[in-house]
Amino acid sequence: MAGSRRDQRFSLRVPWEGALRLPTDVTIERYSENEVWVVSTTPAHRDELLTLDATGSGPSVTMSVRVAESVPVLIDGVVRHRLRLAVVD
Amino acid sequence: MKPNALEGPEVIGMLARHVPTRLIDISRTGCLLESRQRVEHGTVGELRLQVDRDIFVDDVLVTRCVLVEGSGSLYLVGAEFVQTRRPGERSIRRAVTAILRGLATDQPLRHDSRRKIVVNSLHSTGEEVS
Repeated sequence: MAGSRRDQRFSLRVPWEGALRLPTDVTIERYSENEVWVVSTTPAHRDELLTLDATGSGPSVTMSVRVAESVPVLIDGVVRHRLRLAVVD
Repeated sequence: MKPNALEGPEVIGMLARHVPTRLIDISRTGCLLESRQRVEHGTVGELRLQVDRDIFVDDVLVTRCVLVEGSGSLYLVGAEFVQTRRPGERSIRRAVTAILRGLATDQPLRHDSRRKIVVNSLHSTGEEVS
């Protein structure tokens, strides 16, 4: 811990609203105009809305996606999750 | 996605979840959040907070996540600010430092007083706030 217990903490009269953005590296297996298939170390909930940043040899592409399917798969003896993502914008 | 948008021998990606949170308390080095989703210990992410019309952002490392008993699926998430970059103009760390400096000197804010934002101070005793 980086000393958080030593610091004085302050509670808020009105809690601030926000969001945690939690990124995970994925391998993109293939894609079409409307869908992307990726392999991830973590599963995802069906219909969960996520953001995908994809990078090839050109500039990266950012898109909003919806999880259409999440299936556990065994790759090189390790459990991974193949996600089918529908592009929503 | 346009089929030709990504070309190259290997296409890699970063998939990001967005977990709604509420900030319960804060210090210069970390904060306590409330969430309806479990977040794994050790997860690194970006915390984005909206305060009035301003948005503040910082990277955090999740150090604990506990289910609040009897709450259904409400979690308390402890997080430390990841101090690998100089705090930018929209840094949460910078905003908190400004608020705390104002409390010490009792200087007025533009829109609201800092004392209205902060309800009380919690001196850390090593015990977690719950």
